[in-house]
Amino acid sequence: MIVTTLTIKDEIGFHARTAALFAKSAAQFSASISVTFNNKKVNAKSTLSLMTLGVKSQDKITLEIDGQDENEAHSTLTEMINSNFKS
Amino acid sequence: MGKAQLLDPVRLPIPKKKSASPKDEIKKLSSALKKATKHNTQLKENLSKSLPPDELEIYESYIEMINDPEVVDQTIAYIEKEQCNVDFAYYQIQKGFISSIEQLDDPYLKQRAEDLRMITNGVLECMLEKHSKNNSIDTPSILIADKIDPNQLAELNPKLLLGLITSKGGITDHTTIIAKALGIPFLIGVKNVTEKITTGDLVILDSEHQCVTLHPSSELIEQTQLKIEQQKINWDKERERAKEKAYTQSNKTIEVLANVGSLQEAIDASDCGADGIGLLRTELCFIEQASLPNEKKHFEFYSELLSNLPDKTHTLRLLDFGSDKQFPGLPSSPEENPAMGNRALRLGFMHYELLLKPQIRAFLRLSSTFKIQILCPMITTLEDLDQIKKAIKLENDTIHSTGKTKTPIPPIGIMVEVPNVALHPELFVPQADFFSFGTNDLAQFIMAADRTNAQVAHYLESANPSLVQCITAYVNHAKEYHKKVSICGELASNPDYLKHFIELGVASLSMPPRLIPKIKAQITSFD
Repeated sequence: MIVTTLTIKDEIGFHARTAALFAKSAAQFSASISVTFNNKKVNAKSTLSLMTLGVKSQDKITLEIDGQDENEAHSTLTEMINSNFKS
Repeated sequence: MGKAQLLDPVRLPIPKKKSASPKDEIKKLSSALKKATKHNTQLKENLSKSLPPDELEIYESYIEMINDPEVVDQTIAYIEKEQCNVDFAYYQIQKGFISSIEQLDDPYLKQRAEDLRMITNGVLECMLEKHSKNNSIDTPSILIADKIDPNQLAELNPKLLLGLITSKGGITDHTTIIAKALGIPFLIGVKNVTEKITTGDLVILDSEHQCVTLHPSSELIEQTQLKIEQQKINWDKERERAKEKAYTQSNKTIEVLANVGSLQEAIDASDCGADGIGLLRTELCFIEQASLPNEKKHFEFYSELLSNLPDKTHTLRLLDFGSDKQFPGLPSSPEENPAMGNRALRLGFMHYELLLKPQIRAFLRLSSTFKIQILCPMITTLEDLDQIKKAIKLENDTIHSTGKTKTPIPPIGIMVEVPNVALHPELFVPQADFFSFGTNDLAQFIMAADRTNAQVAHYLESANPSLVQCITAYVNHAKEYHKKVSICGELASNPDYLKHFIELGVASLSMPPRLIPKIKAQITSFD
């Protein structure tokens, strides 16, 4: 299992578009992936769950990845957040 | 005028029923989700001709929301645990998501909760097989509803939709934007309309005078029919004539320009004979979007927009976010008095990299293809003007240093909308290239009456003499420097002042596109 803490730099935070991009990307992996924010842990493959976290710009989130392809998932998702959702 | 058609929504709350076969309920879930996905994909295709790609992006996210794995898993778990009907289970789960998104202190996400409510209703319709039985129109009708969401509106045949009346809904939601884009007359916020009007009633909807007449007399019907025909004939005639520049009998002229805030309005501007865009409200072009545009997005959007009127000169205003036009994603602190707060360039310089820089660079690049001038909003002091002029020059220099073709900086003008600027033409006229009177904001500051507050808005009508006095002083100073003064805001399309402005030597008036033909017709009728 990999656990990382990341800072969301997008000027709005996890809103509909960024949450959808993130969930879509997470859904490609078989590993179970979760995001924790403010003591609330949700399924990272679900756009709606990510939206309910209310993550704002500069907030720190914790990413937990567990499964066969966890390394690949980890590098893809951290890259996405660090590049500020630009693909 | 037409027959009313009442929209029949899914009735909430959904009753809970015992189900003998949870398996069948789960099957119903997957077929409903498939149906809803297909439906949204189709809507997206139908709208692809009338909406720009950025607006269509929203349908992509709707499809994502429909197939959200958490919603699916939780609904299945709920059905299995409660042994109940799929529609009840689905509604319970979505209700949870909607309320947790609504509870977040974020106006942008609150709007998304509305979207989710709409999606939920759409999926429920598929489950209950209510879909498109009650909610379509097959004869020309005026649609009556408490609220109509963009999906419902988009699936109606626009040729049969004569008008739209709702009891709820705001002027900035997606529905209004789509209704405007489709050119349908509509009235929103008509109290209890769904109780008073039923399907089949004859209704006259007068969006110009904002009124609805139910069961009109035969006399009124006849009058209205004549009026509609006459309006159509006059409109076509005026629009045709408006293609030419308008001159008075004694050969005086004034440019009649368009206020534009979307691609559709640029098309309307061209269609209605605008002599150019006099005020491109760039903030309105992006206010509906999820994120702030970068330089490329700015550039591409304006290029597409301006290519509707490629040969004219256009005035592009720098982003005027803040006050009554908040961008949901901008970090902002609540203000007691936002109209006089951190808005327009004040906000622009605070978030320079995000707001001003990409836009200025896009404007400068556009100026090699189109004839444009840059308009600066909310200038208050000479220092403000100096600051923005320096910023534009700096961006122009950096564009050149990276080897792109060298073009001169386009004319830089200012909005005259703050009393301090309006009172001092002698200070500001020498320093800017042109002047545009923002009469709506200037009126509210002169009268100390908030234009968004209905209780004091009546004061604004009395501002006209003061406005005209300021305009006259500016025109007289500007003549000495051979510079131009234009007017935008309500006063620009006020027929009572038209003659005066022509005689005074105002260079141009900027107004909503659909008013242009009438104003041009009036100009040609003057001596």
